[in-house]
Amino acid sequence: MSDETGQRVGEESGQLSAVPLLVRWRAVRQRESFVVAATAIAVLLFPYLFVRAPVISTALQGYQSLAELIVIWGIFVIGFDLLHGYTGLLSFGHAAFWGGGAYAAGVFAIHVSGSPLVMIAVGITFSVLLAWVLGFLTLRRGGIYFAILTLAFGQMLYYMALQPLADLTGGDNGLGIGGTAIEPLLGFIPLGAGIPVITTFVATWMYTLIGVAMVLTVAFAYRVLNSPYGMVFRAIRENEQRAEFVGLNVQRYKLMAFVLSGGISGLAGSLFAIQQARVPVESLFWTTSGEVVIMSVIGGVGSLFGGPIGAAVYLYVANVVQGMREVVLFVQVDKLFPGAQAVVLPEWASPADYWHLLLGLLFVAVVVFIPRGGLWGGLKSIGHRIGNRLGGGR
Amino acid sequence: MASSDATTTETDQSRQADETETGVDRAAEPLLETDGLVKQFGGLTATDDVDISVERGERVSLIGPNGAGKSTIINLITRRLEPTEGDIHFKGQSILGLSPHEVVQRGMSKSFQTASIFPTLTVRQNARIAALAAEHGSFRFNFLRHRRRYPAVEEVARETLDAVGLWDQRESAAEDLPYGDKRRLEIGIALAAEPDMLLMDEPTAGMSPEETHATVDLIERVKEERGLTFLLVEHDMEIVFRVSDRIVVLNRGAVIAEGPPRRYARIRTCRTRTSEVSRSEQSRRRSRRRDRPSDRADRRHGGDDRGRAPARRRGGRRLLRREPHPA
Repeated sequence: MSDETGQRVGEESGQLSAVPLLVRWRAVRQRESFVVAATAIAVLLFPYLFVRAPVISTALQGYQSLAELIVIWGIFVIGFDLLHGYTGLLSFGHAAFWGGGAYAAGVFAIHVSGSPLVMIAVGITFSVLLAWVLGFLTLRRGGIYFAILTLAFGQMLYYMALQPLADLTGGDNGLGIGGTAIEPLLGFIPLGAGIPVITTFVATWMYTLIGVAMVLTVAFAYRVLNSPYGMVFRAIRENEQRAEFVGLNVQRYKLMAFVLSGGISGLAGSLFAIQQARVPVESLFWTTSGEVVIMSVIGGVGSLFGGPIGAAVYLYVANVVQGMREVVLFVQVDKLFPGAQAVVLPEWASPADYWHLLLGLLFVAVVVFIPRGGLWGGLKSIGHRIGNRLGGGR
Repeated sequence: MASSDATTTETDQSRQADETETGVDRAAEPLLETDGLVKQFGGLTATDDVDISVERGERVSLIGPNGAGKSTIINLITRRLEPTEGDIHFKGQSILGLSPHEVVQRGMSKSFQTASIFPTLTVRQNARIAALAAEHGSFRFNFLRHRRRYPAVEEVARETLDAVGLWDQRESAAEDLPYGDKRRLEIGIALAAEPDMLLMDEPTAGMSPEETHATVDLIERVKEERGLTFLLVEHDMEIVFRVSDRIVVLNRGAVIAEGPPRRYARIRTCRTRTSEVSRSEQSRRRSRRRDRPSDRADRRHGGDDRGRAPARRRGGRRLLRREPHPA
C-alpha cells in the first residue's frame, strides 16, 4: 500500500543515526490518522506559503483566490483519479459531474436557498444521481468505447445547458449566482470574512470551507481505497477478467467507483460555484474533462496526493505564468529600493505567451520521464532513495 | 442494490438447500452435468451434443486434439459463452442465466491457460482479493470499513499462499515472479475462493519440466487435502494420467470416448516428455491388460472401435497416437 502514502521528501534527511526513527516513520505514515493530519497541515500551510509568506509568495506571485481554486480542482482530480487511477476506467466526461454539481448548487442557490452547506449537499446529490445514470449507460463498454461514451454524454449535458435549458442555466452567459445570493456559512459567518486565530494561514472562511472539504475528501478517499472496495477497484484495474472469475461482481463495483468519483467531482463543482459565485457554461464543456485528465497525469495517476499537485502545477501555469510580465529577483539591483526587486521582462523573454507550450512540454516531460507516478511518484522515489541511503532499505 | 441483495440471499438459500439435502441425494447427483451441449459459431459447430458429468470428488480430464472443443466447453461451463442448445447443471441447478461471477460464487473456480493474475499488486494482495471475493464477493455497501477488520480474509490469504508455497514471496510484485510461480499464484487465486470444483485450462502450458513437476505435485496435494473436484484440460499426458480418475476424449466437438486412465494407457501423445513415465506406464499397462472394461463407444461415428483406443479411427491425428506394442 505504498502507492498512496508517503510524505514529504526532505524531512528524513540529515540524521544518519535515524534508522530506528526511519522505520517508525514508515509505520506511522501508513496510518490513516497521520494521512488525514498531514493533509490538514498541508491545506493549512498552503495558502500561507503561496500568498503571504515573505519571500516565497513574492517569487511565486500567488494570490488567495488562486489558492482556493487549486484546492477545489485538487478535490476534483482526487475524484477523477479514484475512477481512472485506481479502477482503470478513463472517463472523458467528468465535466458532467463537475459542471452538473456546480449548476445544481447554483440553481438551488438562486431559487431555493443560498446556504453554502446546503448548496454543497445539493451539488453532491445531483452528481451522484447523474453518475448513477450515466455509469449505468456507459459502463457497458470498456476501454476506448467507454471514454467516447462518457465524452458523448458530457457533451450532451453541455448542449442541454447551452440551449434547451437556457432559462435555468443562463445558456451561453453561464449562470450568474451573485455574491449576495450566497448566504453566510451557518447563517451568520460571511464567507469573505477573516477567520480568527489562523487568519495568517488561511485568511478567509471561504478557504476554510474549501480546505475542510479537501481534508474530508482525502479522509474519505483514503478510507475507500483501504476498504475492500479499494482492493476490488485495483483488482479490476489490473485484470478485469480474473476479477470476475474470482467471483466479484465487476459491473457493480465499476458502477460504484463511477458513482463515488462523480460524487467527489460534484463536491468540487459546487465549491467552484460558491467560490466563483457564477457557473460558466464551459464547466460542462469537454475541455474541462480534458483538463482534469492532464492534471491527473501530471500529478501522478493512481496516487491520492498526486492529484492536488497536478492541479496546482496546471493552474499555476494557466493563471500566473499566463500573466507573467516580470520576474522577482533576490539581488539588489537598485540601491534606492532595498529588498526583492521586480524586473520587467523584455517582450521576447516573457513566458506569458507561451504558457500553453510550457504546459505541453511539462506534460510530455512527465509522460516520458515519470510515466508511472507523475510528479508525486517522482518525489516519492527521491524520498525512497534518501531513505535507503540512510540505511533503511525496504 | 435491492436486486443484488436478493441474488445474494437466493444464492445463500440455495447453498443452504444444498446443505440440508440428504447425503444419499447428494452422492447420487453429479456435481456438474452438461446436457446435450451445442455451441455453434456461425456455421462451425464447436461442441456437438456434449454430455459430460462430473461426480463430487472426481478428477476428470478433457483431452483431444487442437480445435476439439475443449476450451469451448470450459468457456460454456464458466458462462463466458452462451450455449446454442443444451443445459448445464451445477449442484443440481441449471446455471444458464447466471453471470460468470455468480457461477464462481456458487463454488466453481477456474484457473486460466495463461497466468492470469493481478500483475502490479503484491502476491499477498493477489491472494487477499481472491479470499475477499470468496467471503464478500456479492456486492455490499462496505466501502467505509477498513480492510483490517476482515481477519478471516487475511487468514484465508495466508493459508492459500502457504498451500501454493508462495508465502515467502508475499511482498514481491506478482509480475516479478518467474513464470511457474505466476501460474502457481494463479492456481492459488482460484483456490482462495474455496471452491467445490476447480476447472483448470492447461495448468502446465509453457512450463519447464521442473515447474511442471512442481505444479503436478501441487495439484495432487490439493486433491488429497481438500478433496476438490477437478475438471482438467491438458495436453501433457503425464499429468493427465497422474491426476485424473476419468478421461473424456473429444474430437471435433463431440465426446468420442471416456473411461478411466488405464484404458488409455496404450495411447501416448507426442508431447510426453519423460521416458521414466512411459516406462512406468508400460509396466502398469502390462499388469492391467487383463481387466480392461469395455468402452463407451461413440454413437455417432459408428461403434467399430469398442475397447480400442479411439484415436485409431482417425489415424492421421497427431495427438492421439498408438504406440507400438512393447516387445
